[in-house]
Amino acid sequence: MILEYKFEYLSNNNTLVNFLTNIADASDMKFEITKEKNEINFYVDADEEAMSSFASTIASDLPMSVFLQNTAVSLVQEMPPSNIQADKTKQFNLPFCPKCLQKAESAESSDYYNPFTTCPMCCDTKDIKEFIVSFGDEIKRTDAYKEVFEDLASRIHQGLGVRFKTLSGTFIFEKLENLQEDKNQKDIKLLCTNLANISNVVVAKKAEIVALACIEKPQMDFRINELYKSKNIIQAKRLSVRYPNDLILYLLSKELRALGIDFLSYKNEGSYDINVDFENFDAKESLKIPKLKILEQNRALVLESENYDKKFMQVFESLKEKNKAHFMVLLYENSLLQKRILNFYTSSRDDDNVSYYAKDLEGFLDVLNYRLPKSIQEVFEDIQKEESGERLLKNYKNKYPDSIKTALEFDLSVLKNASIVSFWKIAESILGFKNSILDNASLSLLEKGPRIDYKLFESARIYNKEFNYIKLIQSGMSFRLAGVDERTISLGYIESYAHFISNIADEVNKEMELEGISLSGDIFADERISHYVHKSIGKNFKIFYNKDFVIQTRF
Amino acid sequence: MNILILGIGNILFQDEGIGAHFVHYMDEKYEYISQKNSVTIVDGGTLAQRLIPLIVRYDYLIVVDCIEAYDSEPGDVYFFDFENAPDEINWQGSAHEVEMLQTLNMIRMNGDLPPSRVLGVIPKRIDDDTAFELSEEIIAAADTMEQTVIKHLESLDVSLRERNPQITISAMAQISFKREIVNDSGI
Repeated sequence: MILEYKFEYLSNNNTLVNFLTNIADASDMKFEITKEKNEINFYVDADEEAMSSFASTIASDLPMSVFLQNTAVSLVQEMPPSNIQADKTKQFNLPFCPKCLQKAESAESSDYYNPFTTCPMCCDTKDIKEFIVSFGDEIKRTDAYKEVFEDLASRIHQGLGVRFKTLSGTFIFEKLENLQEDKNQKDIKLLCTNLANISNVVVAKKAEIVALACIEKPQMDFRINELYKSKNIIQAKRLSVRYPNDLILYLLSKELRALGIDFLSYKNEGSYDINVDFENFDAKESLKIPKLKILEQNRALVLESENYDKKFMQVFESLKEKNKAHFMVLLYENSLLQKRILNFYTSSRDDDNVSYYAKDLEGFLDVLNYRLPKSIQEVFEDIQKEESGERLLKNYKNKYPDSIKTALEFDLSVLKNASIVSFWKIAESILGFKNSILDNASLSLLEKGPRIDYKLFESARIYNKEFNYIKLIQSGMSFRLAGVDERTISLGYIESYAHFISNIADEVNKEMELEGISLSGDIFADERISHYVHKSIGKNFKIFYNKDFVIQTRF
Repeated sequence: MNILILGIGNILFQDEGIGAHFVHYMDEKYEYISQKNSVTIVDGGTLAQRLIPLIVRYDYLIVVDCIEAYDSEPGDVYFFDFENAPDEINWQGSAHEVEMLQTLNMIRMNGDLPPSRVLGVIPKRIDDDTAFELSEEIIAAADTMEQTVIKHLESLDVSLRERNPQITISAMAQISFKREIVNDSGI
């Protein structure tokens, strides 16, 4: 009999194919693997008994992946020849897999509690023989790993800081309760030692918790849980959380769990009490920790990573404008070079852009760019030129004189990017908001906000359109005058932006018959925006993102 | 038959938002039951031409909006066939009303306009602060508008069952900007 395992896998990496190949090889199964776009089909030929046993093996040995969307199994008549092979020429350099976890956790195994067990799937750590533990003047070399982990967990529990070398670098770990928050620290990093209790500290959805445990072992940002926040241990609104990505941290976490410790905070530098080191490890080969965002549709967006095919970096560097560079990589990654695609690049760090690509175009067509005003005074002058703008401004000045005064002090030269985020900052200033529109919207409990005007200046052209930012500001002012609160207006700004994207897509589609919409830039990793954008355009268009390449580069 | 009840209006200008407020009110107050037909309610706001792709998907249209008419008083309600508008209707109200007329005409020129009825009401136009308050005249008119719609839908084999009888048009005007429509067939 031939079984076909169907995997929808939204990555171009070879991880799944490698695992399938190694699992089948280890079970001595006859198999073939084919790949077509996002679909990996794994065919296995065996008698019923062997097939049943193999089904159990694959269930226990194949790790979950953030890129794996759907799986299905069916009986088929034929086994097509493979069109993709496992890459056996290089070390996979992955976090621990289920197989090495079985070895390290089984008391009968010779590798019981050995964090440096060797597995053909994961990091090659066979040359590492012992820990070097330094505590005060005492330096101890030991391979009694279980004792070391028990001892270190106990000392962390007592409140000591431990500097640990891991396969991803050296970090100082301590109990979350001991965290000394530095106001200049951009993000607070946490290691969750017990995913069952993650919700005690952060607000995490089931798909996000599953993602933390996936083979990629990503780092992800979470909102702090209000109950935990009220304990005043942490002031930050967002926390960057990951799960152990090597056996060193995994085995330590096991001991910490037994002591009731569900989280450790960690940092790269600072004081510590104990140092744990090991030799024979090339730091250049260190395990990279990707930063991800899991969207509502369970789609993983890569925010930070080095785990992409380096040929895409050449594509990226071949284009000057970041938005086009991202768009081009996205087209390559999704094999869309023969299609008609409209890309929205919305960023907190670069100029925004909407551009259209089609094979027969020699380059891209800019559909929309943004132009920022030079001063708030200019904004007010432009509002006065609008129909009923003078009356609106007069009423607003009467009701909110302080907001007008503060806004006029806002030096717009600090806004470096012609982007929607910059316009939101102008709106925040004029509307006297205490928090950013994005933060406000993420905290809103409503599903719908007021309709904020996102309009373009009238033009018969389909390209190089200009955004009429005055309407954007005016409508926010009107809703504030009507008594709508800051958070709800902010939700309106976010929701209406999604409608704006949808309207542009519809307009371009009328002329160009689009085959898809692509979204790039970090703003599309925002939960609320992503939710509304998918709601607005998901029905009519297929939406594409970068696969393994970051949604926005930091360089 | 798929029936669309489309509310139009700028909710930031008191009575000029009655079309939008009224359809939210009817959406909150009733559910719509019919063996043959479906009823979808949409708050079209001031979207005008952007509503074209929506309107053409339906078999029957009821537009609720402010109108202007000669020899009329605020609160007067008109219900008429768009193709045979009474002579006194002059469509010269606010910007959104003009845009809506243009939109319906554009669809008609393309031959895509479904049979369309207009439920129009004369607003009390005041130059004041932005607010969601409605005039007494419009509040009183909402009763007539409600009965008109019920009667017309019944003639189309659609019966209405009360879901939230307590809701009032004034209360709805305060929250319609953040309210999601319930009666949405998703066509």
